[in-house]
Amino acid sequence: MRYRNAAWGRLGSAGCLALLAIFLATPVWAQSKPVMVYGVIHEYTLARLMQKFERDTGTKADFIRLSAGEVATRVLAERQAPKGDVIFGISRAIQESMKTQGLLEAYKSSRRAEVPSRYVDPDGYWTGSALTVQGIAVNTERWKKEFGNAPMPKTWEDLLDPKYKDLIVAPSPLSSGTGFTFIVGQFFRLGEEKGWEYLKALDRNVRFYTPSGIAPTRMVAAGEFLIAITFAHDALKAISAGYPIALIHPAGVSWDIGSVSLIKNGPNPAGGKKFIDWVLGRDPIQLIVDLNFEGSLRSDVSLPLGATPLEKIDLVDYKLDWAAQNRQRALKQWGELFKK
Amino acid sequence: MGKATTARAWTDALLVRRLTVDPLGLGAIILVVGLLAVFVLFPVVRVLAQPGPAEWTRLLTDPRWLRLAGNTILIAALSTASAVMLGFLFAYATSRPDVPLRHLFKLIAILPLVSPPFVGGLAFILLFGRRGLITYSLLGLSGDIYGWHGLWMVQTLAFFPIAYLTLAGVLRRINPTLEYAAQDLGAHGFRLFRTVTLPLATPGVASAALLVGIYTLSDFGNPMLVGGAFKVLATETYTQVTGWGDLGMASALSAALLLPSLVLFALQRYWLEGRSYVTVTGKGSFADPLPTPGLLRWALFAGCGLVALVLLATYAVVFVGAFAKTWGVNWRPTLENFEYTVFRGRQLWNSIRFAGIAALGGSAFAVLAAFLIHRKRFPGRAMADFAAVLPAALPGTLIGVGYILAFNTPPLTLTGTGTIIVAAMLFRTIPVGYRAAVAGLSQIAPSIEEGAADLGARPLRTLWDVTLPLIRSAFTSALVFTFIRSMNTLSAVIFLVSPGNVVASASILALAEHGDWGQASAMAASLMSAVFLVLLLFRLLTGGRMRLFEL
Repeated sequence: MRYRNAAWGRLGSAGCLALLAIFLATPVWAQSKPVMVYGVIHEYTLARLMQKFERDTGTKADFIRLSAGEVATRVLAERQAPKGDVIFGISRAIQESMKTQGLLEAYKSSRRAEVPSRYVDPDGYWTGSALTVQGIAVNTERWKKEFGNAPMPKTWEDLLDPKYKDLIVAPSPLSSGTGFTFIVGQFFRLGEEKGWEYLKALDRNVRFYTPSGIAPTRMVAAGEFLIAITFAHDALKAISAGYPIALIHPAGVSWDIGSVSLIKNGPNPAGGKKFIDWVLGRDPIQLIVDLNFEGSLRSDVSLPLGATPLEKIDLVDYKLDWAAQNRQRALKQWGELFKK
Repeated sequence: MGKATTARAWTDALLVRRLTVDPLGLGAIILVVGLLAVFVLFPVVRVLAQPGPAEWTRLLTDPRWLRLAGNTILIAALSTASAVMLGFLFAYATSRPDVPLRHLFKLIAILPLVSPPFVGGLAFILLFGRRGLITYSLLGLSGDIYGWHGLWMVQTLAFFPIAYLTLAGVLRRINPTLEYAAQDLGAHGFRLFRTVTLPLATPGVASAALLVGIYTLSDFGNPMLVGGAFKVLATETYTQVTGWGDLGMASALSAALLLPSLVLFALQRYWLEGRSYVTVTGKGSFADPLPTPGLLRWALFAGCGLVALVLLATYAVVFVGAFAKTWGVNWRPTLENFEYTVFRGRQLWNSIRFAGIAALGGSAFAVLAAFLIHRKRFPGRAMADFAAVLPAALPGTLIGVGYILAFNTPPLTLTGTGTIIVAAMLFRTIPVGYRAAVAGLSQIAPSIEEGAADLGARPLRTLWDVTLPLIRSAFTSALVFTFIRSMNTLSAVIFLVSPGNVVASASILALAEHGDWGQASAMAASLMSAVFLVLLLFRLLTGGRMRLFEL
């Protein structure tokens, strides 16, 4: 009995040590430092993009998908010893505030000439890669059941109709870039005072505000709700997956630019610059358009499937400086007014 | 210096001198105390020190936070009550040998533990949402499951296994001869239950309630998926970090969440633990329990059966979702959802790898710590004991935020590595192994170890050859529990993942949040299968002699 115990003990500990060795031996650090990308775009697309980058350039790269606010936090928290090289797909307002905080490094890629100049930071801290426009997503199956042949909402004011009470779901600007883009879009469309009036009126029809930007679209796709405030690319993705959604662009939609920046004092700045040069090219952008349904800023990239051409969409006059400067104040006020 | 303090100082000095005679033992003590201080106490201190006066003021005055705090307490109370009741039902049913299918119920009752808790929320939406399999496809209903009522149901199902495990252990240790004696004295049926069984089980019920309470307080994934407009402190902490980038406010919220957790923890540890009303020898009696009255037997069976069906449906639906092309729209079976799991297979491997290291290291550390703290005397022993059980009271989000703050600067820059994730997993589950080892040690007479010392064994030799074999079950059950818990942990690690070090649970939540039901289900199914496989492997390796969760 004692002999068996001792043997078991030794075998067990030898086994444990062997397992430990195997686990630890799995390579944790690469030979050369890979390029580290903090990406905000959808993980599936980001994974494919990084795979293409490695194949096209032969440079090792790794990524993590985070939400926009998370990227801002992480880069700020890591500023003494940054672990990332590049941030990609992030909303400009957040990028501007990171620029003010001194977290970014200016890099004027040669590709900047290929993008219209208003989508590029004149100081070189960020370069736009994709155009994202907002709109309304309506679940067509539920619409038919509940409203029959009635016309779908065409303007933002149509959403204030009391018959939509508790049928609308929207993202919260407190935690999502989508939500913030939406509310400042209303400010740019109506002026700030009337904008707040509109949001208050809309709030009566909103069931609740979701922490994540894509949740409303997801819920409307599943039929949980009827109408969502959405980014066009989220809706288009759902449509292409087979969900019964109609995407509507009322007059005066908000929009944003997904852009790419170099992080200051990153571990591999040369690799980061290589990534920026590569990702602004035609093929990578086409990949993002195809998989993510975002709009491109390049003229030689085709539209996403099912998207409305840009000339037909009425965009608001988005003032980036105003948005960046007033973000904190606007969010605070929103948090006080709306409790859902 | 008074006489008492002089005496104490003298004793401390003696202790230290005794320790220096045994360098290996001393080294082990320093190692254990040091690690506990750095990885348990330091992050908590950092979190409490991070918010400035502005954040504390906001926390106490902003009506938004007060409402969230109210929500958190409300749902914790509701979910705990129902989870404990359900757990008691299952524990009672499976403790009676004449309830049909009780072994099956035992197995099903621990099913929720094998997957991340928010998979319950995901499955709930798949089953009972607008496009839910049951509500839409089968029954054609339309109703809103988002909100506190949906969350209540999901949390009850997700956390009742913890209550069940605690209560099953307690009920098992009640000596059946007490019931026979009571019956001899004229108490039958419900009277017997009310006057004998229930009072004996009360500390167990309280203990289970406190444990489940801590889990529901720190639950983060379920409120995120199913909560709707009903928001709680844990998700708000996450939102503060990811949406606002406000680590100060996130720390303040974590501290707010820590308060009720600590209260529950203190109650459980200092008030309950001393008051056990059951026999502690751990030996069952040789008599079978009283036969259960027929009506009760079938009632128990029906109750457990219904819940078991719901649970099975919940986890089956995840597997169905994994193979369906587009949930609620296109039911064509396909393998393409798994393509992403394979493509990002590294995440699953990371989960297994990190959880494995955390389990091995954590169990060993817990047992070593228990031995040193409870068998050796050294200055700071009480502090070390507290630090070893404290993680049980810490919400996962607090650990996550604390680790970011604590380990982002030299000399200990661990952010961005896999080590920080392993550390969070490991130290989070130390209390389980520690408590089990302490309980095991308390049943071993110190004279056994003194005998070994008399024969010339150094303390660590005694530990290895004498004590460890006697508390082997504590080590192995800690191993299994730590592994499972670490595979499924989310709230702590979601702040700590970095490129190359993403774990499957974080990925599943991200996919579910984006509405990629198919891919989320595929990855969840793979994660659960991986856990099962490892458990099976472990069971085979130990020749089935090890008892897993009383099975």
